[in-house]
Amino acid sequence: MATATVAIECDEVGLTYPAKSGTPIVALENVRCRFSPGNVTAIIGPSGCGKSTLLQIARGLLVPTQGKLHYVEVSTDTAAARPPGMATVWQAFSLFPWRTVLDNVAIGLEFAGVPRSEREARARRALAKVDLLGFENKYPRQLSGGMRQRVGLARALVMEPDVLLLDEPFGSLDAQTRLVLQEQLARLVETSGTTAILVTHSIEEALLLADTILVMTARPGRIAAEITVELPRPRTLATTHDPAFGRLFDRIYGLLRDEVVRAMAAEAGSA
Amino acid sequence: MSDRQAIESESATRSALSWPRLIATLNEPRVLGWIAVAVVLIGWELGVIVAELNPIYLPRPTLIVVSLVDMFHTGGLTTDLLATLGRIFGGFTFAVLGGVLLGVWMATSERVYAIADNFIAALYPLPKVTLIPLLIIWLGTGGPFMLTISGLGAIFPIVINTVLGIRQSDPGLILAARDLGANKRQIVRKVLLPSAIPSIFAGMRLGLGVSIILVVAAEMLVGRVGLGSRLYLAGQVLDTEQAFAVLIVLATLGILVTKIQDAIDVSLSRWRID
Repeated sequence: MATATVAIECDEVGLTYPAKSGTPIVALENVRCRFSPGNVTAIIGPSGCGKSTLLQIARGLLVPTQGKLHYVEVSTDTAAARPPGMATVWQAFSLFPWRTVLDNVAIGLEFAGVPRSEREARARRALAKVDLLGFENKYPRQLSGGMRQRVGLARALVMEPDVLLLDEPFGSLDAQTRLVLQEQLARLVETSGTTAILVTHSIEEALLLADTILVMTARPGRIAAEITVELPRPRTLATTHDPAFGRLFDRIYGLLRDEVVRAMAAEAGSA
Repeated sequence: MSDRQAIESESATRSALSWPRLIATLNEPRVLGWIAVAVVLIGWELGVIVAELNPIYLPRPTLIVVSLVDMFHTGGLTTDLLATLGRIFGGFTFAVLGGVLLGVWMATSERVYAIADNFIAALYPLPKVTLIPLLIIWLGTGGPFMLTISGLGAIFPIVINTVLGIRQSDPGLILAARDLGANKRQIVRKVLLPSAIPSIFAGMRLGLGVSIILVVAAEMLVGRVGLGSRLYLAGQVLDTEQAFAVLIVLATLGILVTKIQDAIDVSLSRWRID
């Protein structure tokens, strides 16, 4: 994975969806945050708070309606010439069902015009990283959820992104598969020193993977707190028994519970 | 054991088992379906003989087959068949190319959609045979007319299904493709079109059916060669055997087209089968 030198900064970023009828929906408001190179940032918050929206804004897939997004060269603290390379792993996997595993992983390189033999070689290397060699010619439907998401991860890794974006990557998996993949991802993040932004519902997942956790409020989403996680690495399942883990967990849970209650009240009010 | 003994003992066991096994085989739905066809044909043949029907009203199936073979051998039915096939698939090919192209354009541009939508809404439900007189005035009765009528029959279901297929494609896949660096063209070619393939094929299926109907109808009206004109001619001279023979060719064509489409559908949607 490439060593990133560019930070992504959100400067009072907001996003309002124009409503066809009634009041427009404010998904995000006054978000100020920085995703630094080499850092793993987790975004956590109640459902519908705009976590994924923030991720897509950082990726450049959504344009904010308020505020600005900056790409900053860290060494000189000036605007970067171009945004860092980014690739996303999606909650719903979003694999192309008509393509084989190999062709799914290679599609980003195909878009970039990399010749077939080279992109297939690189796709095989990415599949090896997620232990899926031997499944190149299967179709996504023939794989389990956990395997599909490893294909999704390989598809992002093959792009050698400066920043890896993870949008609730384990949200559709069963609890056991999730645990195993979380540990594998923690290994990958620790050994490669990658920059990553992780959107998640799970406090454990955030604590296991992240250096920084952004806790968001219920809609309209804002940053309620920024928490630095200084748990020692490598982090494993054993880390969850660390008293420091427990303290952080309680603190984040406390922040989140209030927001979730507020979100539920707002939902009940609008229903 | 010699070979002869082996054969004899095998045939002995076979005959011992053959009755229940035969009945079981005959009871299979597929076999039963063909038996029904045979029963109808034999009943038809015998019925005509016993009732001494005038062959102008209802010829015997065996004579229809003789007439069919004759028409292929000496009557130039091959020419008619090829002419009809050429008209159907010629027009259909244009309809597929034009229909998919227009469908993609409509599905990806709201303006194009708005412009094309009213015309399609007006033309689609119109029975296309009603266009034959106008088309003859404009194009005459030759090749261009036949290709146009065939293409007109097929293009509407293809356009409509292409638009539908693209509109129903998973927005998550489009987002994933954009994330992986796809430009607009690549999204259309590598995400939207493959997503829409099952729907496009459903449209082609409908379209080809209409093309066949229209080409044969047009041939009956104005053609000099073609299955439709042959059929019409046979009716004019009260050659009932020939009329039936052409119908058999048309029915066989229908079966073939359906089976080929089934096979293509299966091979194209391999990824959907676990």
